[in-house]
Parts: sequence; structure tokens; C-alpha cells
Amino acid sequence: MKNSLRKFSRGTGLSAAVLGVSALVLSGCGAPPAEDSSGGGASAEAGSDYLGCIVSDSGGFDDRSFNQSSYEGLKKAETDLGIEINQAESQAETDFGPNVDQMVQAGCNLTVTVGFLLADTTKAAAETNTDANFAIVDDNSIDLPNVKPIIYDTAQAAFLAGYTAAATSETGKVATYGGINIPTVTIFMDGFAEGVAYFNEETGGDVQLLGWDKESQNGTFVGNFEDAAAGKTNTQNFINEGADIIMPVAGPVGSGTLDAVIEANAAGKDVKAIWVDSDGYETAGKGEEFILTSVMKLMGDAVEDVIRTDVEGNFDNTPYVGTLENGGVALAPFHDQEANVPADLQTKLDELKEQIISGEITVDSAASPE
Amino acid sequence: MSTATTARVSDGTAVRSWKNPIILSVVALLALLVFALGAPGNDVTFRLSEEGDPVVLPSIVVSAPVIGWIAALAMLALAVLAILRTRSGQKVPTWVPAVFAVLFLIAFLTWVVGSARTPNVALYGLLAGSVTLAVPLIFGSLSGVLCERSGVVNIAIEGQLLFGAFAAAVAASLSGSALVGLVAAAVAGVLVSLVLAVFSIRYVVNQVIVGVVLNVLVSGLTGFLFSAVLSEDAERWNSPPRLPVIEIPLLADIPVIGPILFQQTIVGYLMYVAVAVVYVALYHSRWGLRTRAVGEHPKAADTLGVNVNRMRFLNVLLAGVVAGIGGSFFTLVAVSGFGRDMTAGQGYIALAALIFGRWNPIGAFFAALLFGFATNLSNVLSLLGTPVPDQFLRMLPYVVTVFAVAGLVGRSRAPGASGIPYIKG
Amino acid sequence: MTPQDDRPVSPATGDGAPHTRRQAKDAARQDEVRLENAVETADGELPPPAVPATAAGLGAGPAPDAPLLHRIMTGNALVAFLSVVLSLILGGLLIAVTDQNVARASSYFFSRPQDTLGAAWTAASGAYLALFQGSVINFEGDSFTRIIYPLTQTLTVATPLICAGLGVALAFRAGLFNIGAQGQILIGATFAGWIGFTLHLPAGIHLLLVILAGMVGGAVWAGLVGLLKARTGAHEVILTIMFNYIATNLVLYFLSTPAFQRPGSTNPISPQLDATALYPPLLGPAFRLHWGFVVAVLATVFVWWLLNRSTVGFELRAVGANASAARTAGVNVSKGYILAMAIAGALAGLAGVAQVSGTEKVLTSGVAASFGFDAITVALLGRSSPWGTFAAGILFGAFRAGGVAMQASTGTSIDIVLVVQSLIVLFIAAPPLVRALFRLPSPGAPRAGKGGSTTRTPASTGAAA
Repeated sequence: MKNSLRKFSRGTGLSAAVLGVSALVLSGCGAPPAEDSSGGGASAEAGSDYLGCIVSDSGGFDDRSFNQSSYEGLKKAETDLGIEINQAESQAETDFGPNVDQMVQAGCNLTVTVGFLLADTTKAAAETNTDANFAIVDDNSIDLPNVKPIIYDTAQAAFLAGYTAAATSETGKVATYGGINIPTVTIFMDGFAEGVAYFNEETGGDVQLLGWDKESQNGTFVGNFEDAAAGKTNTQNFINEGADIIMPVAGPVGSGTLDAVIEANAAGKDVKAIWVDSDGYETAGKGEEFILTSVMKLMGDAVEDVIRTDVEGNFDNTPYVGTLENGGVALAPFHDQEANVPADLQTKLDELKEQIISGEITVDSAASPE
Repeated sequence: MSTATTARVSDGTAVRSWKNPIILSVVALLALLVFALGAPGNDVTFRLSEEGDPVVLPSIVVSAPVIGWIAALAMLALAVLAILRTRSGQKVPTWVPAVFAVLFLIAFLTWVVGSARTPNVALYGLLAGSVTLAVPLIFGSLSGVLCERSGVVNIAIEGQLLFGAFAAAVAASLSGSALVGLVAAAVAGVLVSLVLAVFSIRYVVNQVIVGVVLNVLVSGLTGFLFSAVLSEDAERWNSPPRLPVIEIPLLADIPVIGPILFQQTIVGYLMYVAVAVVYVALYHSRWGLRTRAVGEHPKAADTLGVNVNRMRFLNVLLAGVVAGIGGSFFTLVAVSGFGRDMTAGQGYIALAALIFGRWNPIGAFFAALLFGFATNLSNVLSLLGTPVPDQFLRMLPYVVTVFAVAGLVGRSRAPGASGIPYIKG
Repeated sequence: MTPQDDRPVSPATGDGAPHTRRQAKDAARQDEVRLENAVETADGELPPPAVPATAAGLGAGPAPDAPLLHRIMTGNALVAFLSVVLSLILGGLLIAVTDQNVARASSYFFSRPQDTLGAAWTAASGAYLALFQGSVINFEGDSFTRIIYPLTQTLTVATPLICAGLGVALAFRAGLFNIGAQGQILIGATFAGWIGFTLHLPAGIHLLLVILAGMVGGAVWAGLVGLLKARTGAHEVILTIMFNYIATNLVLYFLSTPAFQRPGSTNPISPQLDATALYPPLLGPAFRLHWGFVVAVLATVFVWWLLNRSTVGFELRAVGANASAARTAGVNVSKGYILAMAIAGALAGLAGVAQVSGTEKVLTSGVAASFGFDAITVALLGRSSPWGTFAAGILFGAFRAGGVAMQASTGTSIDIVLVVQSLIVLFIAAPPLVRALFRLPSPGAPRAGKGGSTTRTPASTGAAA
């Protein structure tokens, strides 16, 4: 039996190899491009001697979350403003120093750093290189003339999402969970909790929020932003406990939630998800029809704006705070779920938005920017 | 591979191991303190089925203090029994720690759910999720059984799972068929174990070293390909179709265990088959006998005409198939797409399950279930709202592993020649 | 062997006594071998173990009397060099295959093959050039500081790698597979960092206390594993891996408590360490190189002395060679395990100190990066010998420092560095494979598996009994 096994494996191995090689050979039979198409084209617009750079935190630019959105903002600035760009993706926190240093050495006019973990490095670099400008996303601890903090009061938009969830939930239970228990995550969850609480207060309802307790600042966390299977299990547990709207605040882990939601709907349950950071209907890649709305944090636009002001020579170090008012944070449209959101709820949401902007309602989170 | 020391024998009497009774007594006293005296005052509800199920079972509602006291007293009784038996020099019967463990589990569950904000848990979901989480662990530990029983230490389970997951995602995405991905995963597992086999059997390199380095290599390789190729065009390279869930018609309707056991994908059913086949083959077939011989007494097997190194080589390759299929679980069943380092150390937990299960496929199966349960329990607890900080809840499966490997298993005996390369002559 | 070895060492005293220094050296070496064999076989009572459990060997080297060319062609240094070259070639292939330009050019490969080959060459050589420029010399630097900056970066990154690698290597020598360096670095860094930002002591004392705290933290975390192994016989590979995960979560928990956070913020990042708790820069403020590198060198010397010149080291090596034989010979194996793990943990803790007090100056959950796992490959490459580990630490420090620069300038993912590193270790660990690939003559020892072999390679630990 061993010999025939050998022959079998050799046979299949051989044919697999032949298939593979022929595929490779065939793929090389294309036509060459015209002679002078290669070589970089020089950008002809003004500002092409401006170099905008970005340094990510350890999430990397493919984290489908704030690193990616900020990077996309930079790329948009490249096409819209015609500037040159450069980027450095950090694999670990120990890379922060060297990466920022690289950018400064490359002569970046504006270096965007993403995340509070980069604050110390950004501050040190800004102090040593006073003629270069910096912008830091999601951190407001630096007060230097050449550093512009870009922060978001995400709790405001999360409040609206929480109210929507509480108002549309049929089981009276909604849920949320996070990647890691850090302020940039808990600000979503706090806002969400406040929205649910406000709904209960106003209408005398009793909608329960699973997975986050604002008082004790404790809740359900996956422990990382990678393990999507854990996100799926968490969501399934929430669904088992009766929740029918779940908001994952965990970057790519949220795709596990979408998987669970798709499966639950296929089994006959009416479950929806609320996406974060970007409009999930556009970016999530699957399960769009079950995404009720999203809590958007429009980082790309903010980054592009800051670059634009710097290109025009109007850089200043006042923190950019994304709010409902200036559109830095927003509640996404309902897309396919429009039918489930009655007209009076939509009007109420617009009202609430005005009230938050005017200050009548304050959404309060330990993680909010001052 | 663990150290087995000989028990010191003094003046011919049998060894009285006081370790077990002491552990039982300490735990029973702790149970009395925490579960009985410290019981939360409310009733705990264990839901066994949902409304839409074919057979709806009533929920079990228990009073936390009552359960706490009953369980603690029963555990104390068992501990006393163990002490008496040990004092008179008799062996403690094996059912004692088993029943003790079950009692502890019930009391712990009641106490911890009762202390949550919502003392109401979907037991069926808890168990179902545990089985789901355990699938890759079971495949990984089966792979370990195949390798180590023939005498090759397989630390590279993590790498095999990860490469299997990667290959499954890419192949299924490119071909549009999940089954193609499954086959690719098996091939990927074989490739990793091929390297292990060649280096450790042919070139006599230390097996632990090869295993550790293989894990780093696979992590780096898949990470590199992920950022260089998969992220650039995720639709083409990283959107595998999922394996459909296949329900077995009547069996799936059995309350509680039906949905858990009989609503799986093909990978889940393969898992049952694999455990059964490996068990039967290992203990009741000629191949199994030779494998075990090669792992325990390679010299004796050699003199009887068994080609030791070829046997080891083939078994390692077979183990690669098993682990590769286990890896496909991550990208074809759990989530639909590969992520960097997505196995997150589960290969090592599978190894721990192997050791905890005493290198026995059935034992490893139950050990893996235990770890899956520990992980899912910590998830469920955090969403029910316990006062325990989430970081400690996340430590739960690892702490359980440490206790299992250090406390409960004690000096387990690895296959005699495990880890020692066989050099003829 | 120098010409001085041929000088007589003492007046001829009759038969048997060494007449020259070379003969004295040979006699000393033979004595040592005899001693080791005595330990391994409990003075002849036990059969010798199938393979000795000491450091990863490169195989039997060539006979010292063989002609020079033969020695070069069969020697271990050449194998090591070729292993590195082979790994770099494979890595380059991987870079070329996944490069965008190569992919584009390969679609018309047959019409214009030189485009594909040119693009492949550009991709691979560009990446490696960036690697070199980021780790050794930056030709395009505009000042002397900038030109030698990469070399200082290499040494800076090598510092924690060397310390943690020494920890892993020492444990290897005692027969223990210490996969837990990552957790030990984290706990060491936590202890050290806490002392650094909580206490405010004068310079000198503060730094000393920080270093001590780091070593204690690592020693405790690893010593616990040694204790469990000694008392319960549990497998240290599993224990150390589990302890890694526990340590990660523990540090995350600490960073969520006010004691470890910055006043007024709930971010999981500690206050900055006091200036008195930091390693002073070694070459001035323009470089990141700090006195931690000197500490790493001192640690290497210490480990060398411990293993080769001290009784404790001899006992640890005996335990590593054959635990039951050592026990029979009177060595307290349990104590040996605990001591070996504790010292290994202390060394890993030093790596943690290098991180918080040297480069990062703050405690975060990611302060250990992946150094704990890199340290394992460092120790393996260094054959678990102190100076070998030192050299391997420098090499991998170069890869890492260069890798960051390579990623920044060419966009090649830094994971390729991991691939190259693992390949190097694999090839170094299997010299016959490299020899076969390059058609080198073997030094006289045939390969294992078919007909008899005397290749000496390491065995697993604790498999005896």
C-alpha cells in the first residue's frame, strides 16, 4: 500500500507541477506595453515639492480602521493637491522612533502620526525639528506650535446610534463590544450607552445594553484588533442573550460580527449591526443589507483638510475637534435599512443632532476631548 | 517530553501520594468559602433552548446559595473520602476527582453567573460556542498525537494551522470553491510538516528547535504575503466562500446537544471522524501498533523489521494533513478571510491539550473541549457583566492550561522515545 | 594555535607529562571531555545518551591536522556564511515575486524578458540595499552623524536581543526550552518602569534600582516556571508560552489602573520615566545608543564566566546534558532548574530594562515588541554560547534596524526579515543540507538515517528516564 501511495502522490504531484508550470508559462504570453509608458510622470501641479507623510501605529495601514482612513486622507491629498507623499508602517511600538525619524530625514513638510502611542515620539521630533509640521490623530496631549492634534468627539455620533438602536430594537436588548479597553474605543461605547439611556428616560422604555457598563467602565473586549473569530463568537453570545443590534468597536474584528449577523438572519432571526469609523455599507465588504447605520469618524477628510491648510501656508496648532457640527463625526445614512427607521424617528434624530450641537444635550464620556 | 521521575520507595511500602487529597481538600474548603458562604443571593437561570427550537426545554432555575452549599458539602465529603483512603494506603478511585471536577464546575458556574448583572445565561449557546472554539484545537492536538506517538515532537502545530488557514483562504478565493480551499489547506499542512520531518529525521536537528523556527517562518511568510499580495487586492486573494453548515435531519433536533453536535460544517464532521479513526487505528490496528512501538522502543521495532525513520516520516506528513484541515477552519468556517497571525497561539494550546490528554486522542479531545469552554465562558461572562476586569477574564484559558499541565496532570509520561532522533546502527 | 604553543612549558619530566603548550592544551581538553563523559554516564554506569543535549552543534568539524583548504571547505564558518547567503537569496526571490513591477512585467515575459528580470533584480537589490543602508552605513547621509547613524541603530536594537538571547541560551544549556522570554521581558519592564516613574531618586541610585527591579521581575516570572517544572514535572514549553499570554494581559490590566497611567488620562500608557532612571546616551544625544549596550556586553561576559568558569555553571550544564546522570552524581536537579530559569529570567528582565530605560522611556503593553521570540532565534543561531549569542544578536539587530528603514524607503514589508532570519537558523541547524546544496565535501562524518552516524546534534530535554 505504501508503494501505491507513493505512486499516487508522485502522480498527482507531477500533474500538479505540470499544471502550475503551464499556468505560469501561459501568463507570460501577454503583449508588452508601449515603449515609453514606464517611468514616473512628474506631477505638474503646484505644490509638488510639498511632501506629506504619515506614520502608522502598530495596526498597519490595512487595519480597516483609523490608520487606513488617515492614510486614505493622505492619498486623497496626493491626488487633489498634487503633493508627494511618503509613508512608514510601524510593526511594533519600537519602530515609532525610527519611523518618525525617517520621515523627518526625508524632508517631510507635514508628518501625520496616528494614535496616542506616538505622542511622545511626535513631541520629541517636533521639539527638535521646529521647521517641520506635525499632526497627530486621536491625541490631545501635545501643546507645541508645530503640532496640530486631530481629535474626535465620537461620543456625539455614537449617542445618535445608541438612540436609533434603542428605538428600533424589537427585543429590547442591544449590545456592543470593543477590541481593547482604551479611550479611543470606549468613547464609542460610552456615547452609545448614553443614547440608549436617553431613549429609556424619554420614553420610559427599558432597553438593555449588553457588553458595556459605563459606570464601571468594564465590558466585553476581544483583547486585540485581529481575532475576527472571537468577534463572531461574542456576537453569537450576544444574539443568544437576546440582543438584536450589535455594534463592534474593534476594527477588522467587526467582520466576525457581520458573519454572525448574516448567519443569524439566514436562520430566521432579525439581527442588525452598526459599523464604526467608516460607512459600513460602503466599506465592510459583506452583509451591507444588515447594517443599520454607522458611527463615522471622518478621519480621511480631516487629514486632507489639515494638509490643505498647511500647503496654503495657514498651519496652526489649534486642535481640530471632529464634532457633529463640523461633520468630523456623523451618523451614516440607513441605506437598505431605511424601511426599518420610521419617519418620526428620523426627524427625532435630526432634532437630537441639533440639540447636541447647540449644547442642550451634552454627551459625556471619560474619553471625550475637552 | 515531560520529565518523569521515579517515585522514591522507602522500605518497600507503596508510595502514598498526598498531593491529590490535599488539593481536593483545599479546593473544597475554598468552595465552601466562596460558593457557599459567599453565594450571591439571587436565582440563576440556565436556558437550555430557544423559542424557535423543535423541542423546547424549560429553563433550569436554581438558587445560588442552595447550589453553593450542596456542592461545597459534597466536595468536602469527597475530599474526606480521599484523605481516608490515602491514609489507609489505598488508592483513591478515579471517579472521585472526576465527580469532584463536575461538582466544582456546576458550583463555579452558578456562582459566577449569579454574581453577574444578568444572572441568566444561554447554556446551549455557551456549550455550542465551546465546541466551535475547540475545533481547531482538536485538529491540532490530533496532529500532535500522530507525531508524538511515533516519537517526533511537534511544536510546529501553530505554523501548520496558520499556513493551512492561509492556503485555504487564498485557494478558495482564487478558485471560488471552499472545497478546493480545504484540499489546499491539507497540502499546506503537509508542506510544513515536510520541513519538520526532513530536518528532524533526515538531518537530525533538534525537533523543538525546528518546530519553534517553523512557527516563526510561517508567521513571517504569511504576514509578508498578506501585506504584499492579499491586502492589495482582497477581493481576488482573500475572499474565500464559506463552507455551508450541514444539518443532520433528525439528530439536530435533539435539545441541547443537537444544535451543538449535529449542525456543523464538513470540517466539524471531519473532526469527529478523525478522532474516531485515529483512536481506533492507534490502538486496534497494525499501523497503530507499529507507530506506538516506534515511539516507545524504536530499537526493538527496528530489530523486528519496522523502518523506524520511514514510519516517523509518513506519520509526520499525515499529521500535517490533519493540522492543515484544522487550519482551514479559521478561514472557511469561522470568518471569511485571512488575517495576520490569526491563529493567535491556539497551536500551543492544542499542544497543551495533547499533554493534558495524555497523548491519547480521546483525552486530547476532551482537553481541547475544556479549553474551548474556558475561553467561551470568559466571553459570556464579560457580556453578562461580572465585576472581574476583562483582562483577567481573558487570562482564564491560559491559567486553566497552566493548572491542567502543572497541577492535575502531574508527571505524565510521554512516549518513551519522543524527541530522540533514531540513528540506526 | 600559535607558534608559541610549540615552546616547552616545563622541563622534560619524563613520559606522559606535556612537553609543549599545545600538548598541555590538548591534555586539558581531553580531561574536560572525560569529565563530561563521566557526568553523562554517571561514571560508566549508564549508557551514553544517544545525542548530547548541549548547544546546537554545527556538526563535527574538520580534523585540526587537515590541510587548510580542506578545513575551510568543510568548516563550520563556511557553512554558517553560506546559510546566510542562501537565506538572503531565498528572501530576495520572495521580494521579487511579490513586487508589483515584476508582476506587471511578467505578463509579457516572453516578449521582453529583460523587463521582468530587471524589475526582479531592482526589487530585491533595492530592498537589500535599503536594509544595508539602514543597518550599517548610510552613504547618502549629509553629515558624519547621519552616515554612521545606522550602525548605532543596529547596536541599540541589538541590546535587548542580546540580553534576552543570553537568557534563552543559558536555559538551553541547562536543558530547558525557555520560550517565555517575551513574558519575562514584559514583567521585567513593568517592574523597572514602575520604579522609574513612581520613585524619584537621585541619579545613579535610581538607575541601579531600576535595573535591579527589572532583573527581579524577570527572575520571578521565569523562576515560577522553573519551580513548577521542578515540583510538578510540567513541560516548560507549554508553561512558558502560557505565561507569555498571562503576562501580556497582566500588563494590560496594570496599564488600566491609575497607578500606571498618566495623571488626567486613561490611555494605557505610563508616565515617562524620570531622567535619573534612564540609561545615559553612550555617544551623545544625536544617537539612540545608550549604556544599556555596555550592560549587554557585561551580561555576555557574566554568562560566559558562569557557564565556563563557575561550579554553578558546570552543574547547570551537567543537568542539561543528562538530568538523571547529574542527579546520580549528586547535583540537585530541581535547584538547577529553578536557578537556570531565574537567571534566564533576570537576563530577559535586563532586556526589558533596556526598552523602558533606554529607547522607549515609557511603559506600554507593546514595549517588548517581538524581542522575546526573536531572542529564541538569536540563541539558536549563536549555538547557545555566550559570544555566539552576542554576535547573533548584533546580526539580527542589523536586520531589524535595516528592516525598518527598508520598509520606509521601499515599502517591502518587514515580515521578510522574519522569513530570512528563520531560514538562516534552519540552514545553520542542518549543515548537511547546506553542504549538499553547495556540493561541499563533508568533514568525514556521514549523515544520519541510513548507515551509522556520529553527527552530534542536540537532543530534546528531559526525555531521559
